[in-house]
Amino acid sequence: MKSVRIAQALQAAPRACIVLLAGALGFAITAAAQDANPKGTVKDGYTIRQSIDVGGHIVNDSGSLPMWDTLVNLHTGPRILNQTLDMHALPGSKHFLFDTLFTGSAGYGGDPNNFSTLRMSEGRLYDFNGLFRRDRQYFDYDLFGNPLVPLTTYKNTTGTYTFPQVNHAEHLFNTVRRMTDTSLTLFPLSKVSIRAGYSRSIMEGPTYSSIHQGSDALLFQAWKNTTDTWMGGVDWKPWTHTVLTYEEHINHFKGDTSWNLAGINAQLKSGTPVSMGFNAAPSASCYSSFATNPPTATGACNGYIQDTRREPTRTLFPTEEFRFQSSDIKNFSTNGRITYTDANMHLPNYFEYFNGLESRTTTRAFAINGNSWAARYNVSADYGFDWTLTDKLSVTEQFDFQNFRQPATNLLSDVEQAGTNLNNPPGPAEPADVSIASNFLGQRMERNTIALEMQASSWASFSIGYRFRGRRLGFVQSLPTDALATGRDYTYTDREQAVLFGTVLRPTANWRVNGSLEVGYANNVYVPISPKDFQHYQLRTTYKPKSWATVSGTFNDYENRDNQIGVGYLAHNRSLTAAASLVPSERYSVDLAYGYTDVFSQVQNCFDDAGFVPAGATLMPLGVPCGNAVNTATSKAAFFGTSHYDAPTQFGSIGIVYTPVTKLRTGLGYRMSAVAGHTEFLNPRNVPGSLQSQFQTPYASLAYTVAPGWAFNGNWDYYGYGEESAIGPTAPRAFHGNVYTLGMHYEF
Amino acid sequence: MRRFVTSMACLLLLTGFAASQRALAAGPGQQAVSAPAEKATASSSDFVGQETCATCHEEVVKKFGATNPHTRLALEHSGKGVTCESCHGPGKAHVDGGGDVTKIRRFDKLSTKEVDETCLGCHGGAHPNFERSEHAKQGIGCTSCHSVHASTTPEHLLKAEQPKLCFQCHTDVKPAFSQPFHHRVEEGLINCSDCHDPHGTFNKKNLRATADQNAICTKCHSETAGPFAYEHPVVKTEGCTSCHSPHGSPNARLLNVSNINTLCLQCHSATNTAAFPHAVSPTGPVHNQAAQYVSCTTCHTQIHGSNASNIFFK
Repeated sequence: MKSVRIAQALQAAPRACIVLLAGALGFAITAAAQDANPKGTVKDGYTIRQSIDVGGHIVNDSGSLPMWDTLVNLHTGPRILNQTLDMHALPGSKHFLFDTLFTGSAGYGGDPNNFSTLRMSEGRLYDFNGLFRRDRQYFDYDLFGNPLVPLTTYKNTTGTYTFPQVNHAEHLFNTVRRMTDTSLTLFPLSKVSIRAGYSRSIMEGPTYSSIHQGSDALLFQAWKNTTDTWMGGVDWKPWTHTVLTYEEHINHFKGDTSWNLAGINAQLKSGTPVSMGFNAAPSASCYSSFATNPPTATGACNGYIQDTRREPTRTLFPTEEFRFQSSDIKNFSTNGRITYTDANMHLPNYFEYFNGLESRTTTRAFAINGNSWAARYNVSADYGFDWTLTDKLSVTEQFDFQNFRQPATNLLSDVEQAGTNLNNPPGPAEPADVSIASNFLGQRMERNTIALEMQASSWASFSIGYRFRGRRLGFVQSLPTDALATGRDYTYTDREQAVLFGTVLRPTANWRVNGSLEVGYANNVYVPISPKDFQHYQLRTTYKPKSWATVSGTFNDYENRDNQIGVGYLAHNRSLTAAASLVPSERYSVDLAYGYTDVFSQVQNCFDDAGFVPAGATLMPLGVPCGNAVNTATSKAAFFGTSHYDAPTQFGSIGIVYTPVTKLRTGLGYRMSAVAGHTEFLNPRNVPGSLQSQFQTPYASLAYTVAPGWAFNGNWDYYGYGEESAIGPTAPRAFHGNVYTLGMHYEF
Repeated sequence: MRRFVTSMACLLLLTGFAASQRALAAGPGQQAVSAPAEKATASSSDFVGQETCATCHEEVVKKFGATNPHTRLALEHSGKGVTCESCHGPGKAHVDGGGDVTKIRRFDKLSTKEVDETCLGCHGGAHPNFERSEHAKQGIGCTSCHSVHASTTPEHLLKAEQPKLCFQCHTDVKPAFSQPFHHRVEEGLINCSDCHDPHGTFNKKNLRATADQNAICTKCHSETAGPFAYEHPVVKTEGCTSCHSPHGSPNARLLNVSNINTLCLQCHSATNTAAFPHAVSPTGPVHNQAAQYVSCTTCHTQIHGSNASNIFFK
């Protein structure tokens, strides 16, 4: 299948591209003779410049195509690579609609990412900005559920059946996100200006999800979310350096994703399709015949005949915001804002229907109807100022307050039908089991940051600051869970304090060094991976030894820890990176970058399994639970150990641009990211995967000016991905491929 | 609804007010845009006009070009809006002195703070947090990123396009975008400034937020914004970065660790229930780590929050 696809691509697409390019080239030569002024034309009182890049990709890739699509997703075909139109009014000319206009687009014709932009303005009347972006996301790489149905051969007296290996990701995504953002400012230079904005984001497409009802079944998840956002605002400038702003934001979310059973892999004796689950094929005793294809299930094991879920959700977020900013007082600038949100989520008609068998509870079918409501009341207030005390001394202050409260209710009415075999119809409907939940999540937070900055000399300045954050959190979940017979209801408070240091040094006019240090401590933490102690060190430097050379480097180290007994959280994110940009002449330039990053974390966990625990794990004491596992004299499954994760990553890149003659511009480069990380394996299907991988992308480019206004562009990009470890029972995920992009640029 | 109507009424009233104010703002002799203090105190006879500047600095004036928004402003005000002297100060003494460089404001001789004050004289309303931002505190001023005379991006007068401009200093961030899983910043789909406002915000790391003060992530990943009937509280209280590395990661879904069960166990482990209020609820691992439970999210699919399941199954 893969080879056929490549062959078809190589046969068909180059032909298309060659024809396209030949046509474009012919047109170019003809047009170039006609157009002696490729730098734009003057017409109707405007200077007009346009350009278009037409061409396409020729792609040959081999290896894992799902992985190629997940990481690269470029394919063969013609493209409108780029297009621009730029119009500016000539001095003195008057126009009704616009003085300036710019529109551009890129990537149309099949690339996973494409966009269009439009900017217009008319003197002091208005400014308009519009942006449309489209992103196709293909995701078929899932270490989390790796693999799905394993390659298992069953045999009984009726025959032999081998379940086909399911290699695709448990939660495969093939979605498209379309984002539109527009904004309009009326009278942008007046004392009062008015702003309006509208954004729309749609994400939709086929995806998969899963459900647990005895066994785990694959669900087809028809993803569709739509978000519309409107904004209206007024800016009033009562004094020269003072602006008062009022904005109203209205955000409307529509969740229309639906779920239906997928992954049928067996049948009942009546021929009715049935799913026996997807991540672990049930035992051979669950099948009465392997002579049929698919095999025939006995009907006495967990299985799904139908599973449907609908939960159309609507959420409205209206937000009022008032802002001010002023620097009219000498040496004192200040600003602040207050926002209030009163959001409501409504799910008026929840519906779920299950027809199958959960053997443990002898549930043969159920129908659930219900509704949900939740609100988000948010009040935020922020205020800050910058006060220049003397020529060398200034103080900054910022206070932030946020209080959000989210009450919620959920009502579900569950009507179940009992049964013990899928071949028999469900039993009579039982009385409805109605559950009503009343939940709450709220958090009130105050944060204050004050800093004193001192210009010690013409080449050195220092700052010292202090930050305090306090918060109170409340959580209620009224429904019990397997682990919590009475639900949850608790409050939580913490206080975090940090000292901030900063320095800016300019040892020479061409050398800048910035450093900062943040050292903090929290008296309490909400979750183990929120640090009690943290330090953040940053050092950045930029040096320009020559006007054409810039060298920069960064050391960034974020250290977290929580030494409480039973937590043992230790983490760091350290990076040491450097870059150089050399442009000794207009003819050639070199960009270099190198980075080493180490992301590490460890925390003490308990494990409910005797087979797969981290090295060094020890048995929990008798009678001390680890989830559902409790060690007894005869049964020992609860372990205590340290989970660890370490991802040291090397990154390097080089890019060279060489322009031997004005008409010819060439480029050559290479990017590489390699990680050699380690973590524990908690089940036999865990593999290191991308944690031990290399991703490299060498590239080359060439642009040749064929005639005034005409240029031929050619690009070669190579993408190579490989995993340097065992990949488990799924198909290898390595790939490599070449993307040749050929295009003709015409500017007029 | 009542609030909506009230808000719209306020907007309409202010619209009317705007129209009445517009004539005042654009009237003769008025500077329609804010100007530096120096300009405000200088008399009109100290200004010579940009045509005079062009007689000696023709190359500089040419570089401005028609696409420069400052040029547009100048045109819109018949040459009386933003001109050379709006930023460089009155030029008469400079001209009368035969081009005396000590008598004109030269930005290469100003401190970063002085440069910023000049720019913020007009742009302060758009960037109210700049002076308290990390950039300002680190001595990164307006002209560190913007070039008024010779920019590569006419819209924002940047010295280089994003993300290249940002990577010039943030060399530690660039590697993340070359990892196998990353937000498509280098591909041009999104910009650094979609999530960060380099001019400062009230949040750490110059992060933007949604209007209801949710994480900026929810602007695109709107299905995670909630509010949900059943919240996974850490999503709202600790933030997305508790589990995800937003720039890039070797791990699928930009997760902080490669094994999702380890990620979940980091909090849902009954090793020290006394230390954490909610650790008494989803106690430790409710299931073993055998093959049957390949990943927590196989069953707990709605892990960001659910409207129908208190254990995030649906």
